[in-house]
Amino acid sequence: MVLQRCRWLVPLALLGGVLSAADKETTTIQAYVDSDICSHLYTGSLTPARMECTKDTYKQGSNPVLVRLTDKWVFEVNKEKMIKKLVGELATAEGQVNYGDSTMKLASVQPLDRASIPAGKATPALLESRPAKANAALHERVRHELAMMPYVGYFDFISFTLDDGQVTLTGWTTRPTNRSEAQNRVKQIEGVETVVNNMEVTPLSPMDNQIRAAALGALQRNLSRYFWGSGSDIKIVVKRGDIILLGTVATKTDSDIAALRCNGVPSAFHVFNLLKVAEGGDAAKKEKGK
Amino acid sequence: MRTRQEARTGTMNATAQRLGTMVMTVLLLGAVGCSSNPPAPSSGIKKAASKEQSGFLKDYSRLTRHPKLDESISAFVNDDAVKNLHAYVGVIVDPVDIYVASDADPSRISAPNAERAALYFKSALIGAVQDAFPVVQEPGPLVLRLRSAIVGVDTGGEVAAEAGGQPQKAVNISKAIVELELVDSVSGEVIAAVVDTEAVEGGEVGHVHLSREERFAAARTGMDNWAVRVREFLNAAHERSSEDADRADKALRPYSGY
Repeated sequence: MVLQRCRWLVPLALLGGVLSAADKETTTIQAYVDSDICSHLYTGSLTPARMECTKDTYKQGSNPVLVRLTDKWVFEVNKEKMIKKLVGELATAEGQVNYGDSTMKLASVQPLDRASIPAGKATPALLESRPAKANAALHERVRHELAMMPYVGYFDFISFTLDDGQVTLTGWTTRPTNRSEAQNRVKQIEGVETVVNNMEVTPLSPMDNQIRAAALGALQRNLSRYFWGSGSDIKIVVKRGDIILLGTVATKTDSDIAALRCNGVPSAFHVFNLLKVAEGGDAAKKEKGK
Repeated sequence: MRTRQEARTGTMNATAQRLGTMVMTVLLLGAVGCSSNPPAPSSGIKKAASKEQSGFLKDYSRLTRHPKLDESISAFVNDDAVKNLHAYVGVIVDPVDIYVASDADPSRISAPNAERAALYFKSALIGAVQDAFPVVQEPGPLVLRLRSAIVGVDTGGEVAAEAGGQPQKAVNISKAIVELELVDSVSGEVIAAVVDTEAVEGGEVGHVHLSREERFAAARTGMDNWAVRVREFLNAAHERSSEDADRADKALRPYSGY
């Protein structure tokens, strides 16, 4: 009786089901299994340095993520267990992709043989070994626009790559508006066709803020020469209790001091020291010693 | 030997004493509890200390003209290596204080309309700064506190009379200025301060006459402009020189491989 009365509901329910199925369509992507940190740090193609970074930071506790080979889009996954054995390798992943929050609900993951990927023009962007078409003027315009952003401080790191007309933005910022502003600034540059925005907004939780303040204080006390009015050579990215040190210092000793001081920050879980030593720093001193 | 009556009286006295002690303890604890809370940010109508300085800012001597901003703005930016604007990532926006002109009578100003003006300016400030500094609710490290005041408010036209009360006047902000401070939310140290003397022509809040909407619109536009200029000040204070931008870029270059 009730069913007879509500017969008109059946097609509606069917339509809803179809729409919802379309929304949750399963997609297959070819991806590089990266660590969360390195996927936001390296923007270029897959180099030995990047693969080393992937393995090092994963071992230290950074979560595994998928980086799509075709456009370097970074996806967080719901089941990290399924990809952890493939960290630093290529994989074919099947699942539901949500572009809004850059997540993927995994159904299956298989290792992918690099040799099976065609070379030449069809090579995906991430595996491209030849340098991107040189467009120094466009590159400089993008660099300048991002470097002049006013609200990028000690706790923000913004980087990019340019492949022909595609700009891939990456890094971390504490201000949500920096993420959109970077994209808007780059989009408006003549010659830029598409923008992939892999920038992550780090939450402003009171605990992370305490870590930021303590790490900044410790580094400013011990390595003050790397900090100046509107910026710093050392960037302190804090994400859910982890400290990621980025930037360039003059010597390996300075890099070690930075890591040591940050390790002493109360309530910080782990310090990922990814500081680079400047060319002409330690190496030049060794040469002089000889 | 004590009689039963004496014993009962004694017990009653002891109970009364115990009750009294308990009441006193509760009152004392309440008082201690209240006094140990940090003082809530004040809002309301205050009288300016003098025609030149309201007394809202902690220090007026450090204010100077900013080369990149309008002449009506004088500002101070702490250039300390550690405590400077660049080190902060969030802001708490306090309720706005209203200071009446030193020669005006604060008791004639309509409190509800003063509150209306204060609330409007606070929301305008939040709208203007939240892109630069996400607005948070709790003080803490790397969080600024934005204190602000509309200074030099005068009595305006009549407002609708309240039953039995003294006739009140509207809030006239046409000769008012804005004073604000950004202080460290933990230590209270002043990180930046601004005084904007831009006038708001014809701005009144609460006037009963037909032109009320027009006057309030003028007040709203004026307060919106003040807020926009606060943001302009923040932008100017954050502006990077090409040298700084190049230095920052150089430090990050090894990761992008260009």
